[in-house]
Amino acid sequence: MCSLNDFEMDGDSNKEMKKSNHKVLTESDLCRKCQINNAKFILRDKDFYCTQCFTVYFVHKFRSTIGKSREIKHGDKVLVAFSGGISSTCLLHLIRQGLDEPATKKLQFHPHVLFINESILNSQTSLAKIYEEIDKLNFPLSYTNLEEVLVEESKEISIKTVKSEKYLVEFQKYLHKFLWKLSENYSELLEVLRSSDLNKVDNISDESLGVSERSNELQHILSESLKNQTSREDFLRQLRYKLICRCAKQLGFQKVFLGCSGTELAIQILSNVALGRGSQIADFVQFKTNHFGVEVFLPMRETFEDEVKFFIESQNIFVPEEEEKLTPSNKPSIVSCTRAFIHNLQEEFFSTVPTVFRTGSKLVRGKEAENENEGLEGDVCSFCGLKRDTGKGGSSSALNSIKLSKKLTENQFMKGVIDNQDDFSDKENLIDDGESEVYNLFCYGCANLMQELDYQNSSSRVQHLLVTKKSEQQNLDIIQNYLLERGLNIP
Amino acid sequence: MPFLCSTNCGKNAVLKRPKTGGALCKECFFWAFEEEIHCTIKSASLFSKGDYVAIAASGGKDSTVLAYIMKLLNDRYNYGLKLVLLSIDEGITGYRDDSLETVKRNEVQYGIPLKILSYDELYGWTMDRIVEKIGRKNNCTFCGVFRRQALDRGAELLKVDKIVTGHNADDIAETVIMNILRGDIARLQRCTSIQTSSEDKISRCKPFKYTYEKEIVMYAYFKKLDYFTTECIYSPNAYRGHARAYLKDLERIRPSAIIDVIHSGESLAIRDGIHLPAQTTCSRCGHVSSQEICKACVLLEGLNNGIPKLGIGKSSKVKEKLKVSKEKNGNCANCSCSKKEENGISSRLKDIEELLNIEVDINGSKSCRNINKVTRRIEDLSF
Ligand SMILES: [Zn+2]
Ligand SMILES: [Zn+2]
Ligand SMILES: [Zn+2]
Ligand SMILES: [Zn+2]
Ligand SMILES: [Zn+2]
Repeated sequence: MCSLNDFEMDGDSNKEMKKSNHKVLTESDLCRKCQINNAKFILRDKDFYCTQCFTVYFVHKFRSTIGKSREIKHGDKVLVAFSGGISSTCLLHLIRQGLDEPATKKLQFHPHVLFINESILNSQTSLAKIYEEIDKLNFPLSYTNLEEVLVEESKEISIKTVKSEKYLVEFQKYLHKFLWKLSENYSELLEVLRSSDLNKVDNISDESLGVSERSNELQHILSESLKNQTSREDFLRQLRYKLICRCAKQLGFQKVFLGCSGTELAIQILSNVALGRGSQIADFVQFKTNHFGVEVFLPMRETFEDEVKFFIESQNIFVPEEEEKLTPSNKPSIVSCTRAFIHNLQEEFFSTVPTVFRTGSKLVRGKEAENENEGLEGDVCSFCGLKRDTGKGGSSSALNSIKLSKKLTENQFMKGVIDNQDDFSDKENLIDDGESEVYNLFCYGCANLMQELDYQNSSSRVQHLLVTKKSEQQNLDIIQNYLLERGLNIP
Repeated sequence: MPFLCSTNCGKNAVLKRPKTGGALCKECFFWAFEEEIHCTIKSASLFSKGDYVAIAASGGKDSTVLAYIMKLLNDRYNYGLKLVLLSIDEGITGYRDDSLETVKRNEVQYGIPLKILSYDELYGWTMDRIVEKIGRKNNCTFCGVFRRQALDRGAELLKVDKIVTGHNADDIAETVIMNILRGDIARLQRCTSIQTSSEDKISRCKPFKYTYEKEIVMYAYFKKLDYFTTECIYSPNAYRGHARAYLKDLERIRPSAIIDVIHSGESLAIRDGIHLPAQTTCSRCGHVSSQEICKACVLLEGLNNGIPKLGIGKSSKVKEKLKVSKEKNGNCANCSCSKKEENGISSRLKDIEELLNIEVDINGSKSCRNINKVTRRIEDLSF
């Protein structure tokens, strides 16, 4: 058969991928913009830019992403998640530079950095290093351990907050300005503040949070319960989102910044499709999304990897964690495979990343995929907290085909039932019985995870990760069943 | 050590199902495979009793298994369908000869009548003659475009109610990925639907939508079905090749990936307010097209007028020709762009006008703006 699919040809296609130019910069090339300086960077595979013109362009792109959304208001407190990696390092520097601009151009929000210590995954980044960098940038920093995500929802997780000397000095000035009129002994007040809120630099170490039993449990889930690398990575990604949002809530932040570049988002878009999470693309690529009741923003979404790299290089910025930290092992996964695929394709066809990114930005969750009882909390996945895409969606669907395949592979012929073709609805009931309960609790992607995790029989810590909706009786009952089986009760 | 069949039938398993990971014996596999397709047909209401259904038959594994299954399920469950095998003869020496022999044997083996239609009959051109004209580089464009319409035209001739094609889950997952990579959101939305829905057109459906390619191969192997293994002998589309390789990698890492991609495709929608090109019909031949004139008609025009490359690639040749001569000669007459105007621009425009069957304002045509407009139009018409 011809290698072209017939149905691809339903009408005319004018979509063709343009080959990359593979231009090479030489010493004598001038900047296209200013026509004065030597060009140092090739923008979008075609335009030669000097470092200064590039920086103007790059910073402008970042500022306009925030500006045009009108979502970040004057005086907003924003929690900026920092992984130590290249994009989030870049994000912090962009924010710092934005705050240092003269008043008319100054960024008008108050950033606070959050670092999740992942030493449990053998991450080499030391907290002290992270602190050093954040201190230089003069941001307040909070940090916590990844395994804290296993703490029961009803309890507080352990978060440490440090404020740099520089920050404190600034803070004192600030207080000075406003308090001297109000308080006779403000110096006393300052002393109190200093002693209560400041953790000295030498206090900062991985041990400061304490090694908890939770770290063993998380390690167990990651190395024993989850057998394949794809599930581990997907699980970790969900955990990071969960923990960041939880920290934000606990620290009193309504807004969170994540430093994902457009390139990273393109990889996420395609990975999400491959993971069966196509319906959630919008939840991970739009500028503003909502996770666990927290507003998550992606201010770097319009930048590309090569631009971020060049910005970091040209400004001599130190990146604490050069390697993209993702997982505890190097086995291939859906995401690593997708990353390699996108990178290779990008080499050959320059428009790959921009096209995938643009496509992803136009997609939302389909109506058919949702459950009929829209608006109820039962529609929400108990793990990732996003809307479930495991509604009926008409009787012919990939989900139903999987359910049927499982039935037919596990049971004897079932001839008697299936033979009766006129009463087809009966057969659907047959397909849709108990075992598909996992799809009543979780979204499709999380159901893949949970089946592997054997969530019904795994440790109570995994249960803590699940969102229980007290107001939604049906959902509660389902969970209750599992919990009762193991002699536990919902509070 | 032999595995037992996971249905507890007591027999030894002969294979592991890629879709579920369960191990099955031969009989249980046959049963599961057939039942799943039956369920797909039933739950999507693909047919009505008495329908006259054309099975697109290429002699390859997908369409051979499809023909076998359609016959089997039609008999087993009394669908009440009248079946016909529809084959297209592109006229590729050494390619179709053998595969058509296979289809002819299938006609006898399954007792389904066969109708063969040739490109020569439908378009006046065989693929071999097209290759002579344009070389091997772009002929998959031709064979793909022509094949699609060939089926539709054939189906119209036979006056069937439905066409079934052997597209399997891998094909569909691959198309989902392709459309994301190319940013073709209109097709992305269409490509996961199990049948085409256009009132005045014969609908096409894909009973293998949820069937893994590997299982089709296994089924054909264990049933000892007679099919012809071949790839299109002309160079495949490089870009699709990348998508295919990627999907295979995904499947190796996580076998459910194929069905997961299809689920993703099914649960996606396009954000409100995003403009989609309306799908209309070709003003010449009446087939589905997003342009005024469909691809097949443009390609045919090119072939018949000795400009066979028209409609392939970005028409850069056509565009370059226009541009180069534009700069060589005198000033642009009508606009203030100070660009040069080419000799004989009117006649060239007239050619294009005839070729593309579009109206070009000859009076205003001596301006660059107009040339650009026409060039853009040509680009729109090509890939
Ligand atoms: Zn410059
Ligand atoms: Zn979920
Ligand atoms: Zn068996
Ligand atoms: Zn071909
Ligand atoms: Zn036409």
